[in-house]
Parts: sequence; C-alpha cells; structure tokens
Amino acid sequence: MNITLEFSAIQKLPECIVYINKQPKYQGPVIDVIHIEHFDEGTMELSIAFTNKKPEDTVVNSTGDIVEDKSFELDRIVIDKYDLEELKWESKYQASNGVVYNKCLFFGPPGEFIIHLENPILPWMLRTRHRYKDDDPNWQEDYNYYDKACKLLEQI
Amino acid sequence: MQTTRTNITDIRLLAWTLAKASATNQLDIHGEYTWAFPKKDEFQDVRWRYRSIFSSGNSIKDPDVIEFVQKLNISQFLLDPWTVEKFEDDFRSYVNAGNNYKLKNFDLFKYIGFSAGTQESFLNYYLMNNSKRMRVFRGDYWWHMDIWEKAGIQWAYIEDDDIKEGDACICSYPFALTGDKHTHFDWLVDECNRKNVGLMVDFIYLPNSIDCVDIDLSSPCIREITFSFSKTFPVQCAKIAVRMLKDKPQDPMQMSNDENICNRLSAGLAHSIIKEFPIDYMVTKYRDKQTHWCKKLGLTQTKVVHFGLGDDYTGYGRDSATAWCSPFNEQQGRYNLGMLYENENLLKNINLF
Repeated sequence: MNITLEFSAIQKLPECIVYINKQPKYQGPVIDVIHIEHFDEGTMELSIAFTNKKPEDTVVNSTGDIVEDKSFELDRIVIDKYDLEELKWESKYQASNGVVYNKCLFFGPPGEFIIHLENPILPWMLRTRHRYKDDDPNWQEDYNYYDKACKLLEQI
Repeated sequence: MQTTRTNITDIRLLAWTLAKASATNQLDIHGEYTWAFPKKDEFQDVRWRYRSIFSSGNSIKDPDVIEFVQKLNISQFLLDPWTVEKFEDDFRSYVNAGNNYKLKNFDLFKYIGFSAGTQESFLNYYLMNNSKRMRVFRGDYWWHMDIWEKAGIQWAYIEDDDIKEGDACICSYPFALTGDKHTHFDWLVDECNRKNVGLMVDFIYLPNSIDCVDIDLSSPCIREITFSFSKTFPVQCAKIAVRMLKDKPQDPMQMSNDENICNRLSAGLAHSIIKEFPIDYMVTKYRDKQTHWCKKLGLTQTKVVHFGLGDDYTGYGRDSATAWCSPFNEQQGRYNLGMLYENENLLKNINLF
C-alpha cells in the first residue's frame, strides 16, 4: 500500500520517524508530504514519532503564553488513493510524559501519533464508518463484489 | 414475473464489474451520459454506478450503428431544406416494413411530424390538453409524472380512479415497465372510446419488440401515436422521434414542422439510419443474446429485445428516495441488458459471459 502523509504548520524544523508496526519507514525532517510504502496485508500500526523536540524549543512570554514553538500538524492521511478524511481522528497522541491525547493531530509535546489500520485499507474504512454512522449495512457484501471485480479486470 | 430464480449473485458481480470497467476505461463501448462514468475510480463512485448498470430504457449501443453514425457528415443536412420532409416521407414505409408487430390502419395517421425526442410530443400533448387530467398506468414513463408534478398539471394513475370525461391518457405499448402489452390496455381503449377520452399511444419500444404489438389503430380514441429513436438506435442525445396524428394538430411542435425549422442534423441522421438499418435490426441481431443472458441470469425474457425481468438486484438502490432522477422512476425488476450485449468481448475475457 502507498501511504501519503500531509503536514502543515511546520515550525522550527521538526523531525520525525514514521513507523509501520514499529519498523521505521521514514526518518528525517517533517516536510509537507511524506510517502511511504507497506506491503504486508493485515492489521498494522502507523505511528509518527516527534523526535527532536526539546524544552528550549518552546518560548513563552511573561504571561506564560507560547510565542514560539517547534511543532507541526498532520493534515491528511491518504492510503491507496483513499483519503481517510474524518477517520484520521481514530488515533491518539501519546506524549512522552505519559499523557495520552485522543483524537489529536497536533505535534506539540514530544511524543508519538498512533493509529491502527489495515491493509487493504478500504474494508477498514467502510467498517469503521459504518460503526459510527450505522448507515451502510451492506458494506461487507459490496466490498467483496468490488474486490472481485477489481481482480477480474486486473487480468486484462 | 419469475422472481424466485433470479441469479442475484451473478447479476451483482456483472454490475460491479461493468461499473468498475466504466471507471477504468475498460468497456468495449462506453456510456453516453455523464452519469455513466464514475467521477473517480474509487469504491463509492463505482458503487453509485453499479446501481444503475441495468437501468434506463435506452437503446443497445450497437457497434455497427455507432460506426455508421460516426462516418456520416451530418452537417450537409443543414443545407438541404427537404431533409425533414424526406425523413418523414420514408418513415411510414420504414415502419410498415416491420414484420414483428401489427399496426392495423396505420395509414389513418396522415399527419407526421418530426419531434425533438418523444418528450417534445409529450409536452405538446400536455399543453394542448392543459384543462384535462392526465392519466397513465403505474410503471409508465416516469418523466410524465415528474413533469406533471413540477408543472402543477393535474394527473392520476389510471389504477386510482375511473376514466372520466376530461381525462387525457397516455400509454406505452409495449409497456415501459414490462416490455409487453399492458394487461389492461384493451380495457383502456374501450374506456377511452366510451368516455370520449383521447389516448396517446407511445410506441417507444416498438422496433425492438417481437410478437407484442397487435393493435387496430382505427379506434376513435387513438388520435396520436409516437415513435422514439433513442430506444432503438444509439443516437439518444440527438433527440429523434416522430409523432403521427389522424387530424392535423395545431400546436407549437406542428408549427415548427410547418415552418421547416426542425432539427435537420437529427432528422438527416435519422433518415440515414433508416436507409441503412431495417426496423427489426436489433431484434434480429440480439434476440439470441437476450435468450442467453436471461437464461444465465434467471431473468424472464421480455418481448422487447433489450429487457429482462427479475428481482431488483440493488435491494436499496431504487426506492423512491434514491430513484434515478425522479421519485417516479420505479423500474424495479426491469433489466436493460444492453451493456451485456455491448461488452461481450470484455465479459468473455474475464469469463463472465
């Protein structure tokens, strides 16, 4: 599978390591778009570790407001042409100090963004959406037909 | 209708595959409407298209007709003031040459007019009967009901009330929903005659039918009849149809004919087609394929060569809330088999034929 991670609000040259199932797939500066690949089918953990954040990166004024910081935000996760859209919030941010922020795409404190996905991604998306909205009871059946049709057409 | 043996599993796989092939440009013959192309090659777009693979009543996209049409120089017809007249002159004998139906007293319909699709004829019928209540059987062309609702025209299904003076009826024959004569068609003709109510007979699928239409057109109530090209030949978007009447009409459409301002591109195209392809062309060419697919998919073969009848394969795709274009478009169970015929090579290559 092809995974595209899109970032924004990149401040003060942050660096990260992107892991799949604890295996590093990218290590370096946080840039607007990072592409990685993963080939094993089944469940997978995608994580993005914020690796170079230090206390001195955060500058506060006399009233305690942050005026300068090393940080970034995760905007989009696109996997095999499917934008996860709202499903990117099916994640957590585990700060190094042990605090866990659910549904957090902001990389402020040192820590790690974690989301559990599957390869292929489409059935995971359909199932997860149905779990929340309860509006797609036929998703599994339709996905099976779709998958079969894709494989048939790949023959030619 | 034989509903218990419809092979829904195979039908769904075919529909998904054709929908996916629409998105990936793998069809032998492409669709002619924007809605026939998934916006993106992604699951939800393909899924949307999947639900409409067998809908619509449009013609089989026959490759030989398409090739013939593509080679025509239709702009020449703009320069010929007799283009429409030539088409109209030849249309009567074209219909008369058909052997798969019986139109007794067809020659009573002396007045022939080019129609920008049958929809132009329908609109003129509504207009010239604007003080009357429109009547159709359930399952007839949804466009009537949709327009009547939107235009505030009074109407009622024939099943819901007696035929009364002041009504104006329309009935397709073969009937749009079933590809066969409506079971109450003869009753309707008798009622219309008894109540002095006009009945427009829409021969929309006549050229594609076999052993279905047998009608005596001398009935007084049958004053006008219509023929569509878009259900017979792949020229849907050229808007070609013909209206015929026993008495000369006085309406906008007739005025366009009298003024000689009808669409010559379409009329010339239509004339070229009827000179090249006989009226039973599709029946002759595709009847065996209809038999094949109906047998394979557990559908009931209809008397219209591109239709089969069976259970609704979408289950959730055609209720009034999600019907295509209109809540009146309820065609559950009528399968347009055209895409199966048109994409035979593709389906053979992936062992779905």
